[in-house]
Parts: sequence; structure tokens; C-alpha cells
Amino acid sequence: MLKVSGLKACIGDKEVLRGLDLSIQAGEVHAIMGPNGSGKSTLSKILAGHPDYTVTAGTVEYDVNFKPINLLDMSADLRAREGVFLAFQYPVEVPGVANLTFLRAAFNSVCRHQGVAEMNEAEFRLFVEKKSALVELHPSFLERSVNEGFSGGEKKRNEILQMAVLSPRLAILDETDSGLDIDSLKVVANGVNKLRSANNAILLITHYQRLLDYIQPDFVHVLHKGQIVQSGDKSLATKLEKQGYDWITGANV
Amino acid sequence: MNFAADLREQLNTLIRDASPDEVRFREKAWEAFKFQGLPDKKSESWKYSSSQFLTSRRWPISQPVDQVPSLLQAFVDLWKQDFDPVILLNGHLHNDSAQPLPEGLRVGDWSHGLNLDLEDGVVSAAAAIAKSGYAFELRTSPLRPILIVHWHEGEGVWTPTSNYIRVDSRVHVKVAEVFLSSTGVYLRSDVTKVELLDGAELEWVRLQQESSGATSWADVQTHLAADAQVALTQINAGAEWSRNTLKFDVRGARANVDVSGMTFAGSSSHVDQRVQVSHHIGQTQSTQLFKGILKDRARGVLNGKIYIGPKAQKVVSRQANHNLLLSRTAEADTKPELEIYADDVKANHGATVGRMDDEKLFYLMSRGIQPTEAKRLLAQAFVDEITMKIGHPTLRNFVATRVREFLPEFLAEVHV
Amino acid sequence: MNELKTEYKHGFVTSIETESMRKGLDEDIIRMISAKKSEPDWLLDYRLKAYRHWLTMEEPHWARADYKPIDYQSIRYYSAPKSVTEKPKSLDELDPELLKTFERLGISLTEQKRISGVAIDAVFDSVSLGTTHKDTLAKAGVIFCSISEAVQTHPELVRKYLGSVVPHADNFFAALNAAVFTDGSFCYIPKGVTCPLDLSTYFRINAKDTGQFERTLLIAEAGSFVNYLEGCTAPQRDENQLHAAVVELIALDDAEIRYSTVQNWYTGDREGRGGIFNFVTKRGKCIGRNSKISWTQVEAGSAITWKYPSCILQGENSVGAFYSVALTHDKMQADTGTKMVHIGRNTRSTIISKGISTGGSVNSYRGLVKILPTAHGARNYSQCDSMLVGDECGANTFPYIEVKNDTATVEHEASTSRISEEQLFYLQSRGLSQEEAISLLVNGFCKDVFKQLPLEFSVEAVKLIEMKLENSIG
Repeated sequence: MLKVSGLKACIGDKEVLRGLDLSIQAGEVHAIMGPNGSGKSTLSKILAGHPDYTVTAGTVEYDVNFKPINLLDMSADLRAREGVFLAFQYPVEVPGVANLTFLRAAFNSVCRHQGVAEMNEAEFRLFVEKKSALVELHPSFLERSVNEGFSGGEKKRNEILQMAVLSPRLAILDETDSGLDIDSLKVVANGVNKLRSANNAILLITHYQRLLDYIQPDFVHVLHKGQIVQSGDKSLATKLEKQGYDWITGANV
Repeated sequence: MNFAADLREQLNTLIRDASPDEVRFREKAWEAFKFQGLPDKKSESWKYSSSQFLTSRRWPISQPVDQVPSLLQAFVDLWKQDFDPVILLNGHLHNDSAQPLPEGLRVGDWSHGLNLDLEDGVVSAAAAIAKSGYAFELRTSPLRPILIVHWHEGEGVWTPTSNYIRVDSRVHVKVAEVFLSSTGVYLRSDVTKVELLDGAELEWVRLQQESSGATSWADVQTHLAADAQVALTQINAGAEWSRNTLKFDVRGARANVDVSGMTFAGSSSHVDQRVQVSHHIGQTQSTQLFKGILKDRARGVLNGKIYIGPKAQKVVSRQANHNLLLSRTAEADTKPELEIYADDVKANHGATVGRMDDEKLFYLMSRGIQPTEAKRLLAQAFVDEITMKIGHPTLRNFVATRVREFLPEFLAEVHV
Repeated sequence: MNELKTEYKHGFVTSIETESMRKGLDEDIIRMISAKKSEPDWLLDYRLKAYRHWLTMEEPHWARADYKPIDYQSIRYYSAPKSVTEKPKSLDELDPELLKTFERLGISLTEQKRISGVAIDAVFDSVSLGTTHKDTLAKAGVIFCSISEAVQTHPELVRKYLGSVVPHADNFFAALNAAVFTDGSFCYIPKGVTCPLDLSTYFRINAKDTGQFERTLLIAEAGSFVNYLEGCTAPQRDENQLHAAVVELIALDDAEIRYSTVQNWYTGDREGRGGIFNFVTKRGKCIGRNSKISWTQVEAGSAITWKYPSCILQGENSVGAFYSVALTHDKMQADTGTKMVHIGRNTRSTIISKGISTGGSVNSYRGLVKILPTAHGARNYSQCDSMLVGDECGANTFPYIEVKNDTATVEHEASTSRISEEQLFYLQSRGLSQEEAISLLVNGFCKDVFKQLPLEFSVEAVKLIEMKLENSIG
């Protein structure tokens, strides 16, 4: 579904990714781990199409209608309509735009793209209220401005709510576990697990192994200095948790 | 012929059959004009705008219009369910027997004009030759909001008006005032005096939607007695060149001024919004909130001032101005002033200028929303703060509807 | 008289034989000043050009200050202690009266007692008495001397930069200064040098009816750094005296200039008689990439202050800053602020202004933030707070913000308030007197500015503000 080959990218003058390869099939859950500054968040932002990053080499192929196309050629909004979803590490506050307005605008743009009927406000409200129960967000959050005045946990739940509404094919969760208390973590993990299916894939980006206790990955990769230096199954995460990153980063110096 | 001589000649025609009050009003304004002359660039309040709009060409006074144009009729019909409409055609009240005029409306009375503040030569000139406009003396609270529509017709001509609103003690009034025209190049000047007696309340929206070639100038002077309240929302959405001055003279204890506004300016238009709230007495409050969206080569000016006089203790006053620039060549000039001579007061202001937040745009786009739609959502959110402040649902709906109508078109041509 | 002295401890007069030119201003006076300083022709021509332009200009009155018209013909444009004009060889040979004067102001100029870590140029009326620590500076290649001396020893530098930031026709008072400037400091920091000492100029007006028209020129070459401090006082006299200085700063690539002023000119008496008219043009140009200029000022003196230290941010990524505390009391009028002109890409500026008005004074902030179309990504943050103590004073804020580039971000905040009753009560309930409590709260209000000053200066500034407050509200 996603094939990243030899990806190099920089922000400003600084090279952050230095030839990254990654392949993800439908139905799989991948976890990317790595120390701070290894390029984890950069990868997620590049996949989502953030304008601050410049790709200098490599390709990203993403299957649309079972055909691989170049993801990097698509604008951020088009990628989203094609089913790429990024749960932000720091969700952005958008004062004055109601959550409901925002979700419906996003949902209907995806519907239009897929040639499916759009929902009117009443229909959509019912639909989204059901989804909010999934992440235990009170429906009153729908009337509030997007993320404005939300606590850290509420913001993350709101990200998962958006994911539930848009049902993406490739969901990228950027440090979704950071700053979450254990209850919120369970709610978020539960929301993500409900979305797992044979047709879609999930890419978890995390510093700690903790999230992986709740969302079981099929593959674990270690990112260091902009490259994947080690891949394995779930046990790699456990090993990292016990031995720290020094073991892996040191091994490659 | 020069401007002054021209003005005097037009004035002579006007006072030929005028009442003694009207003659006194006009002559007083003329004398003031002769003394002041037109302000030049050195005048602080004309730093960003030029008074040449009056003299750059000759502006003959517009001719009376008898018939309500169909475009205007359609507009009035749309809103007459919610409002009691008043129509002014080229500055004259249109008296339509089918539609009775609201209570309290008087015609041809000039006595109120004598205490108009003739701040500079432009105000004096505009007052000297003003047409009668409207005059309200509201002794009881009207049942429905009043809709005042100023309609201009005629190419290359000037419609000057002088208006008056007096709201008696404890009377509550809602007014929507809108400035429209058939298309064209013309000059409109509008001087309005408002007197709010003890405990009077006025909720007022003013919507300037002149044609894109128009020059629009307005000076609104509001006087507040004790416990009086005014909530005024000014929307500048038309004209090639406009200057709008809103002055509030707070003279009564516990009086409250809440003034807000939005400016939408594109192509090479110039919008100069001035606001001055003068607290002459303690225990009074005011807020100013103005927002501007500027694109193309447009220039938006905000000149906001809070004055708190000596002994006006316990005044609380706030002022904010936020501007969005949507193109490289747009310009925002803002000058939020404080002039304070009493120590036990709270006064603050804030101003920002910037473009649409890239992070917000990216966030919306990362959820599949097209860039144009994302920008519209953010722009709508930016101005909603002003619309939502309007308390009366009919007035709020009027403004929200009008803004919704032109906003997508306004944003459509922006290249960010 | 004694009582008054305690209020302004710098108000004494030094009795010393002076050599003065006649009162009044004409081309002859300018030629005389130039001849006195043995100036080259180009400088005399520059002065005359400025004078001729000045004659065509009108005295500005847009500053929010009321004063009687200044009679420019009743001012003496040159006055100097006789002993100095006869050129003593070193500071140690200075007339003891002059040394004593500076001792009384807390500044020792003699070899033994001088303050370590700070090099001082002492300017008395129209002349510089001399500069301390010359050897240490010379070793680092730093030139620090009076501008008159620099005209003789480094004419190429003076000629290149004089008037390059503040042109002779810039404004009325700058033109006047360009015509008649007498002394002031010249600093040149060579490439890559961090100035080993803080540089400081102390300005003293002594003679009656004399105006002081000093000129300061500071050039920081690529990669250099300098901390410059400036102090000023004058005797207590019933007549107003004019001080019209011009300061020009030039920062090349990666250079940084920090310029701090503690201004304590005589303010006039409680009824507003006498005091200095302080009409000053200070401007810095960040020519180089990544260059930085910061102005920090504590304005506590002068009858009228008219001063807007500004930054022209021309080099890419250059940074300008303005930190100001202005305290006015009795009948003082202060109109001060800054201009930040953003020309280069990613230029940044910060403005922090704190105004405190007491008595019957008026304190105004006037500032301009201008973002030109070329200044992509420019940012400005301004914060202007005013505090009123007493109900007969005034506080004004006149910020002008002009943005001509959509990628710029400009934020401005301002507030006016008085000391909160609750805070005052809280402090008093812990045993502080009202004056102490107010002093503490005002210091807190000014903290963001004081912390920009070098330590010794910061201590002095805090003391000065405390003393002024005590006198005006006690």
C-alpha cells in the first residue's frame, strides 16, 4: 500500500532524512521507534505533505485503486481525500471554527471525492455523535472551536475522532501517546484498534514502547539519524525498552 | 472654479427657500469651513488619507430620484418581513404611501445640526451642503428594527446627507443602515448625529456596500448620557476610497460603548476606519474590536483612540485591531492610541497584522479540505467573532447573510 | 535651595574659567567652531550645508509637548573650560576643579581611581576632557576618543560614516546639530573584536546659556561586539537649556551594539521653571547580515524629552530592540519611543516601553513599526505599558504600525493602569511604607527593561527611579 524508497528530506538547510526505506501492506500495523531527533516526526509530516519540508531524493508510492502513484506529487488535502491520515503530535487550535463544521467540511470533501452522497447537518450530527462515543468525547465538544481550550488528552481524542469520521486507509499516528494519562491512552488505543481491518494500515510513531502494549504492531522499525537501522517484530520494542537506544545507535556508529 | 467657490454657490441655492434653522446650520458650517480650509498631510488625522477626494474632480450635487429602482425594491422586499424600512434616494426620504413610515421619523428639521462637532474642513464642507437625510426622534421603543437604506444613483455626482437620531430616556432601538447604489463613480458623504438620553439603548449596524468605483465618507457622532448604551457594528465592504469616522462622546455615568467592525478591501481600494471613544466622566466603559481582511493592492487603515479625561476615574476601556493580509501587495496601517489623564482606570489595546496561519491551513487540508475551502473557513471564523457580538437576532442575521453572500466571492480571487 | 538640592543632587555648578563664543548662530559662529577644532574643509562644508538647510526648516511641534518658542540667537553654541582648550597632556593633568566635578558625579577620571572595566569619555559643555583606558583599548584595536580627535586622527572613517545614518537634513534638530556639533564620542570596533571594556560617555552641561550639541558615532565592524553606556547631568538653572544630540550607530555583518542611556538632565523645578530641553536623534543602522542593535534607556530627567532611538534593519536576519523606562514628575513632558524600519528579510524587532507619570507631568510613547515590501518574514513585538501615579498626570500611547508585506507578523500590546490597591495593601500589611511599596511595585513594572542594562547601570537606574519617586509622591 505504501512504499518509501531512498527518501531524503530536509527542513531549511538541515538534512533530516538520509535515505529511508519502508514498505507497508494493507492490514499491517507498523511501529517506528527512535530517539529524539531521529527524524520520526519528519517522516510523518512528509507523508502528510507539510510544506516546510523539502524532499531531495527518493520516492513515496501509495496505492490508489490498486495502482501505485507518487504521493509526493499530491497536495496535502488530496492525500487526505485519498485516505492518508495523520494524527498530529501537536493538534492545531483553530479558534472560531466549530468542530462540527470542520468535521463535516472534511467528511463531505472526502465524500465528493469518492462520489458518495454528502450528509446534511442533521444526518452528520447523528453519525458523528456515535463516533464521539467511541473516543469518549462528550457531544458538546462538537460545538466548540477546533481544539481550542482542549486539554492534551482531549486534543488526542479529537484526532482519533477525526480518524474515525474519515476512516482512512493509511493512518499515521505521530507520538499520539505522548502526554497522555493511562485512561486517555486506553481510550485512544481502543479507538485505533476498532479501525484495524484487512483493508487499511496503521503506522505508529512513538518514542516509548508503552503504546505498543495496547496496539500490537506486526513490525517494529528503529529510526536513527534519518535511516531505518533495524527492523523486527514486537520483541524488538521490548528489547529497546529494556536496553535503551544506546544499544542500537551505538551498534551502528 | 475652485472647491470653496463651488461650495458657496451650491450653498446659496440651498438656502434660498430654507427655514431659519437650516440657514443657521449651513452658514455655521460654511464659516467653520472657511476658517479651517481642507486638511493637508500635516494634519495628524489625515496622515494616511488625503482630503483630495473632495477636490480631485468637480462633484456636482446629485439630482433627486422619484422612483424606487427595481433592484432596490427587491432588496427591501427581501427584508421587510423583519424590519420597518426607510428608503433614502440620493439623500432624500422616499415617502411611499403603500409602506407607512416608522413612528418618530421627521422631515426637514435642522435644529439638531447646530451642535454638530465640525472637527475639520471636510466635516464642515459636507455639513454645509448636506441634503436632509433622515431625522428620528424616538420617544417610544419601536416594535421592530428599522432598516435604513441609502441608495445612490447618478454618475460623477455627490450625495451629501446629514442625519439625526435622538433616542429618549429608556427607549430601546435597533437599526440596520445600509449604503447601496446602482454601479458607478460617485461621492457620498454622510454626517450623522446621535443623541442617547438617560438609559437609552441603541443597537446599530452600518453596512457600507457602495459600488467599487465609489468614494464614501462618513462621520458619525454619538453622544451618550447617563446609563445610555450603544452597540455599533460597522462593516466596510465597498467603495474604491472610503473613510469612516465613529466618535463617541461619553458624558453620562455608567454609559457603555461597544463598537466593532470589519473591513474587506481588495483591488487598489483604500479604507480608513477611525474610531474615537472619549470618556469625559468616570465609571463608564467601552470596547472596540476591529478586523480587516486585505488583499490585492488594498490598503486598510485603522485609527483607534481611547481618550480618558481628567477625573474620569474607574473607566474600563479596551481596544483591539486584527488584520489579515492575503496578498504580498496589501497594506495594513494601524494606529491604536491611548490618551489618558485619570489614574484609576484600566485601558488597553492590542493590534496584530499577519497572514493566514499556515499551520491552521495545513491542519484543515490534512483532513481533506480544499485550500480555498480551508481559507474560507478561517476567514469566516475571523469575522464571525464580530458578527456573533451582535445581540439582536434580526440584526445579526442581516449582517451574517450579507457577509456570507460576498465573502466567497471576495476570497475567490486571492492568490496566496 | 538646600531642600531642592536633595531632589537633584547633580544640580551644582562648577565655577571655572571658561572660554565661550558669543551668543547666537550664523555662518561665522560655525566657521569659528570649525576653526577652533582645526577641521578639514569637507567638514566645514558639511556644517554649512546643514546650517543652510536648517534655515529653511520649521521647528517641529507635533511632539506632545508645550513650551515657549526657543530663541536660537540667545544660545551659546560653544563653551569650554579654558584649561582644556590649552590642551592638558593627560587626564591626570586636568584642572582639579574639573576632576572634582566628575568625582562629585561619581566618576573618577584619574589613573589611580578610575573604574576598571569601563572606559570613559568625559564631555564637559562643548569639549571632551579625555578618555580613560586608552592603552587597553588600543591593544584590542578599538578606537575610543572624542569625535573632534577622530576628525584629526581617523578622518577617513569619520567622513565615511558621519551623516550616513542621520543625514544632515533629517529633521530640524539633527540639521542644527550637524551645523554646530561640538563634541561627543567616536568608537570604532574592528572586525571580530569583542570590546574588552564597556565604553561610556558622560555628558555634563555646566556653563550658563549654553546648548550642548554632541555627536556620537559608533561603528561595529563585522563580527564585533560592544556595550556602550551613556550618562548625562546638568546644573540647576532657572533658564531652559537646549541639548540637541545626534547619535549614529553602524553595525556590519554579525556585529552587535548594545547602547544604554541613563538620562538625568535637570528637570526644572516643581513649577516647571528651568530644565533641559532634550531633543535628540538617535538611530542605528543594521547594515550587515545577522547584525544587532539594542537601545536601552532610562529617561528620568529633562524638562522636555523628544527622543526616538531607532533601528533601520537593512541586513538579512538583523535584529533591533528598544527597551525604555521613562519617568516623569512635576511639570515634565516626555515624548519618547522608537522607530523600527524593517527592510531586510527575516528582520526582527522588539519594543518594550514602560512609562510612569506622576505629579502634573505628561508621558507619551510614540513609535513606528514599518515593514517594507522587501522584509519577508519580518517580525515585530511591541509592548507599551503606562502607569499613572496621581490624578493630575497624563499618559499617552501613539503607536504607528505600517505593514506592507503579508509574510510579516506584527503584534502590539499596550495598557494603562495604576498601581493596584490590593498589591499596595498587601505590601503595606507586611510592614512596608507606602513609598517603599510603590517603589517596589514600580521596579517590578520596569523589570523587563532594567534587566537589559549592564549590572552597575541597572543598580544606578533602580536607585535613580526610587529617589525620583520618593520626591514626587512622598
